[in-house]
Amino acid sequence: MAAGFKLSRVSLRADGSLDVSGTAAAVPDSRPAGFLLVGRQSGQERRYPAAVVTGPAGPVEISCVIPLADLPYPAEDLVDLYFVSGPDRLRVGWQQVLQWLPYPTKFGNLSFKRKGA
Amino acid sequence: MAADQGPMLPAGRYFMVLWGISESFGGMTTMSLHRAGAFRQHGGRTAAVLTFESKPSYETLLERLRSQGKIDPAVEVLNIFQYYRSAASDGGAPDGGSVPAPVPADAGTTGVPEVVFDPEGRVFMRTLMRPDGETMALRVYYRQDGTEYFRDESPVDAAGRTLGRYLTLLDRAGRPVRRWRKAGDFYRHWLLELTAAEQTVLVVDSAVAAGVVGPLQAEHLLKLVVVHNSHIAAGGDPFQGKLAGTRKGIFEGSWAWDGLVFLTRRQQADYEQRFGAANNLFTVSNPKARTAALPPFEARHPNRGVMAARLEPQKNLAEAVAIMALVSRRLPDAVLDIYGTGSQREALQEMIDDAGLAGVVRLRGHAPNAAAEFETARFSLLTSRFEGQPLALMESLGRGCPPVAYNIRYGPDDVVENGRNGFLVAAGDQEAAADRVVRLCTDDQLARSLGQAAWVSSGRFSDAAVTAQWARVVEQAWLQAPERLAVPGLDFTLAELSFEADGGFRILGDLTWQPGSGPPAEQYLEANLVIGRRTSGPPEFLSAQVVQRQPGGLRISAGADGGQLGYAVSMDNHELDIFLQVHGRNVLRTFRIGFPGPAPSWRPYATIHGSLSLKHA
Repeated sequence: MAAGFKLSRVSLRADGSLDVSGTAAAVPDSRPAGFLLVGRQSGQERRYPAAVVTGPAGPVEISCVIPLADLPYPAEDLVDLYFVSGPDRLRVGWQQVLQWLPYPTKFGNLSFKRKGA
Repeated sequence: MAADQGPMLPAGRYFMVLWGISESFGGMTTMSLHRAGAFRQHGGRTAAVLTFESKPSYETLLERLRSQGKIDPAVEVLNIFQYYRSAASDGGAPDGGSVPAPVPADAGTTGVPEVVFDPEGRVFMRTLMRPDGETMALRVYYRQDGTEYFRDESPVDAAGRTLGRYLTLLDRAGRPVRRWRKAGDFYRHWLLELTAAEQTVLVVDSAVAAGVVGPLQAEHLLKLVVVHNSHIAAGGDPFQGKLAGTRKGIFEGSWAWDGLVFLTRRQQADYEQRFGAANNLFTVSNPKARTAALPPFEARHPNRGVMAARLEPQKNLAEAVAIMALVSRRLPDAVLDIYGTGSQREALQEMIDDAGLAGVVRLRGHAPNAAAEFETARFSLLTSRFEGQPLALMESLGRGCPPVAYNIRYGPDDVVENGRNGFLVAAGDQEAAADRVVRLCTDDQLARSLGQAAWVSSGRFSDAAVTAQWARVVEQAWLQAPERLAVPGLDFTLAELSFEADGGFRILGDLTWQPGSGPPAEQYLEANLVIGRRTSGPPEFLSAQVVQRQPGGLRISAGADGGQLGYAVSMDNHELDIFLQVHGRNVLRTFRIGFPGPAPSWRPYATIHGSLSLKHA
């Protein structure tokens, strides 16, 4: 099983990069941890290495910067994000049940939709 | 104005500003002209009316208006083109500057000139249009002696590409005296020349003219703009509706005004609840004359009601017909006379006939003095969908005729105290409205007491009372003027948007403006994150943190946790929209929050299961 990744924050910056950060209980040394983007329709994958900071005890801190301008998905509208550690991949998501889901409007503005609406 | 006191209005020159005055104008122009007279008669200050339309003369129109009492005989109307037609412009470049650069030659084709003559039959203006019939190529204005005094040129090159606009003032020898590249700059030049650095108050009524006056920044000018109708398009919901397009520029650039003047307190309150408060928001009622004394109750026909309304969809007159159908069942002698004309006349008459109410609801057409009809009526009705401030309601009160009004935005609840000087019922509640009409028709004591209270309450919007309100606003605005913040080019750029583990989010961004005259705005501006509810209810304001202040800029951080985001959101709201509100003194501006970085691009997106995806938007 992949080490459980807990999302702390996902940030979009003016330079067009996406910064994903969180924690995991442990990360196996056999294969570097990273994040995988998968095109919803094409299944095309691209992997980005994560920075892992291991402290003396407790969970490890994990972060990854994804340059969005470089994503190779010209025909896609949606891309899913996975955390990869060892042989497994784990869908990245919020750890608690969200009541309001963020989304970009058709004019490119930030709105939230009520879950289930 | 009392004889032993000084002028009620603070010292200075006063101008009412309109774009133009059409032959058959509506309520806004009526009020503007009337206010100019009231300022002279009750405020002790002469006020003139300013216009910008291309019109050779107002002579005939003013003669008619003066004979009808619609404008004070002492009130002057000054028009920019009439002004420069008579002005001496013989002195070369007035600023001592060089002669303006030449206008590029026009390589386009034009049609036959259209000519406008002045009342004496002399040419006032010649216009050459492009072959499309819509684009103006050249307009030349002529003095009474036939010499050109102004040219408005829009040349194109051989490929038809525009070479810009050139507006030129000429001396009698045809030499250019001054040239502008934007019409607004020409109009503002006139305002500065006219006011000649004297302390001046500009009261702007027209939204188009507000576009001219708004950018004008001068210490000797006080700029007040009147919000004549609902600030929401088509009278929509005050919290969710879009800003009325015609006045959107005023609201978005409200910092540039010394005062935004609403007509009713409720409208100002709605505006503040949605957008926030600022020190340049005021309320001043329109004035409306009332009878010198309460008309005798005995002259009122016991079962007669009156409406004065344009027969247009906004007035919602089908509701009045439906109410009278209910009234008629209980009171067969009741009648409603509707004065006014409009596009719905035939449809309404058909509705009345189909309902068998031909003798009950009577469309009386236009009456020059329809307001006098309220003196012999027992009740009046108001069923509009929306209003700025319904003048018919004020006329009814001012003649002691108690109204039964739908409690719409805006106006009724500002002047009607339910059960004291009339009745307010929920919009669309025909049964309740019919019940109040029947009570007024059948209960003499009630009708008499409400009628008297109606007339007494109308003293609040007499010319004298309203001019006194204006005096207080002008005085307050002059006091605040030196402290007014100037933030031209105010804009917000998002640097970072973060979604947090608890379902909340944070933004970090930069508020920027061009620092210039006035106090350092960076010391006084603050911000709020605004959670707007898409379907109903006022927005939620959460304080933002200013993390850095410098001339011309603030760095702002704001956020909401998962709980704050959905706090007290009613279940009919399925979407929340995010804004940043900036406020401080006279500054009040709301920015829609988007996503940082280039667009379109990939945006974080929560799937229905709470997983993180990226969406291209």
